[in-house]
Amino acid sequence: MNAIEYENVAKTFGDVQAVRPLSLSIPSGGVFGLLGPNGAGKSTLMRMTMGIYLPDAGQIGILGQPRGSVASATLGYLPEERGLYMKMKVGELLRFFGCLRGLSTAEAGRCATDGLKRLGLSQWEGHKVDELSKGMQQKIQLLVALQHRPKVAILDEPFSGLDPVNVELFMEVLEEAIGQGTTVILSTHQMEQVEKLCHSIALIDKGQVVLHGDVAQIRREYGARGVQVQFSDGAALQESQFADLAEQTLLMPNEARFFLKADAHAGKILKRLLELGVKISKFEEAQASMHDIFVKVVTGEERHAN
Amino acid sequence: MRTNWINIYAVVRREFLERVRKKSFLIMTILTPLLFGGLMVGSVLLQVVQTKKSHVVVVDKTGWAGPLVIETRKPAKTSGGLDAEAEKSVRDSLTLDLAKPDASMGALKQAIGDQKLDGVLLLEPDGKEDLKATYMAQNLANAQIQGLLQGRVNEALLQHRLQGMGLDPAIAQKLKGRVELGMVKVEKGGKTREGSVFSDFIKPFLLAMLIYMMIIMYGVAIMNGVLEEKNSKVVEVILSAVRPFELMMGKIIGIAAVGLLQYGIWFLLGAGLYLANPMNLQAQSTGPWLRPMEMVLLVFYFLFGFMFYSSIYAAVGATCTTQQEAQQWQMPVTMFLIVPIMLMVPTIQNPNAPWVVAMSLIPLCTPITMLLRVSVVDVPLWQIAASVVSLVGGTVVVAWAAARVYRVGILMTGKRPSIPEVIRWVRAG
Repeated sequence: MNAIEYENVAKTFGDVQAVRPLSLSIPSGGVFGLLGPNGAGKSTLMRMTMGIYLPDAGQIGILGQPRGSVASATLGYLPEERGLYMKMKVGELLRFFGCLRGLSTAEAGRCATDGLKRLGLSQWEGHKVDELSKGMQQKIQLLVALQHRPKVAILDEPFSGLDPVNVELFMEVLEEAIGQGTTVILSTHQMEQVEKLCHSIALIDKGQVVLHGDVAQIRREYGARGVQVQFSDGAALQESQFADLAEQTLLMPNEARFFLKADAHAGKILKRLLELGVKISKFEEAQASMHDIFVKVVTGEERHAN
Repeated sequence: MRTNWINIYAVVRREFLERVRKKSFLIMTILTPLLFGGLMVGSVLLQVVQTKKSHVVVVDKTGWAGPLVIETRKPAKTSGGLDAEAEKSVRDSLTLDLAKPDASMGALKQAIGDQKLDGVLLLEPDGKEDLKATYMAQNLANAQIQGLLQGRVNEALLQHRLQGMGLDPAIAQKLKGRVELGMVKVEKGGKTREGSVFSDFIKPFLLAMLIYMMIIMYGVAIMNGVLEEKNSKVVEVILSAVRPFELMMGKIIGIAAVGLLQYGIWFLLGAGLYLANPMNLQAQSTGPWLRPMEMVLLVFYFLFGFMFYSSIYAAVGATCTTQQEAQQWQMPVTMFLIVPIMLMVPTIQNPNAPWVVAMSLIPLCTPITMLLRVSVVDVPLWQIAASVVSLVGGTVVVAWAAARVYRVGILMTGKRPSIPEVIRWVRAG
């Protein structure tokens, strides 16, 4: 059974079409990544999934049921715009949200205590939220989303603003949740995390799905044709000099990435670079990273649109 | 999706506990009665401890009026009550002297200007019989002194005329005897009971203020609570689990419960004070304080009036983004509450005037205006029924519309929507 099924879902705000009729199936289990540039419609899609916005058209199904009849306990949510009741005590805040997610008072108490213990915040239970550091507050928000062990957790930019240590901690906690049967759907700009966590992704741009599928497969498809070069004296390079070899060229002062055309191969790129008098320090035929794919697809879309 | 009462309960519980546990709640609950008590004691003390006696000099150009105005007369036995009290308290704070025959008006005016003297009462003949009196002072705002002087001058003129007719002053005094009006309240069916200024004026005033204060204090607390949730962004997590209507209702009920608790504490304090009976208050009160009907209607108007206004306040909070904006937009709402309060005296005086009846049937004014009427006269049953129906109906409509505005507004950021936009939200749902 699919965790979430979008069927021609659309949403318009005033003149802005935030989500164009969009259909997408998100399988149960593991982590699903919703990727896309800012303003692509990811947050709107997530909010509609949580019932905060109602779609103008289309259907959203969650675990085979229509969105409206899904029990609150099934879902967990971490919104992009973070906010907590600052004057509430941490323990009470977690119990309050637990109760809103359908837990009994006793269950909510237990979940709050366990959750705080897992994140090493037990001693803060009786403190007010505004006494916590920003990082700790973010942990509390993750707990709000996951403490009741939802079947589907929707996390909008869960890693934004976290230091590397907390990113690791969040990833661990997510993996534990998945181990307990939660399907995690997250949006992020950090492609490294996508590569580490997500089994499949959908890339959304301008309210539409432009790329969708298994991460490993996507990387294989795009990645076999990538070339990454590090060099010096490359300031004069221009994209047009590689137009016959690469579908797309990304030039940086000391580095370049090429997505090869079907009939081209890495050697031709190397030859061309040497001809142009560039001093190469590193040349690598690489699987494209999700970052490259993201940039390629999104900028490609823009070119296409222009 | 049906309304989930467990969610509403969770929100109510949070609102109630968070607010009741705050120190400010405890402080307000204790401080308010102390403040009121202090004001009452203070005003009494102020009367007792008059700081400075006013000094007024009487300049007599008639040859007869001066001594009659100066002369302090024991108040007649029959005239008691408030007038005598007032006369005494003013007399204690005022010295009247006859000016020396050679004193010039110029010098006296100079003395007033230098604040060595508080005022001059100039008595001049006016034709053969009459008297012209002029009061000169820097401060003409002291109505008490002016009232006393006015009384004295009239009294003097009366005395003078009676003597002119050859009447014995003692007989004249007898002629002036006063009667205090007794008051008996007649109710429906011809039943009578003793009434007083208290039962017919102070009591309705207190009841109306009770509702007014509750709506103002806690209605605005709801607005600020909504605004806080909106600005701190916490609302998005809540709305992912709770419908906007449930959140709004939970907030209103929770905050109403806080207000009721506070009122309950004050009521118990008041009842305790009454039973302790420190100043023999029990003897002064007449009859039962509230009749059962008044009690039922008080609770009804209280609850629905609060519901009605707090829904509007919640919607206002949801459409605004800053505290200042909200302050500005709550004003027109609050105006509807202030108008019946401002019209309180005419309402009590003419509780059955057509405009008062009409006002008492408009849901915006019903809680205050109808309550005032009910506590003064026997309002026809059909009018009470009509007010109940219109207030309940009005509350349902307003809460429904407010919930729709709230639902859209609470997630909006940036510019405040225009009124037509808000109306569109209500229509579109």
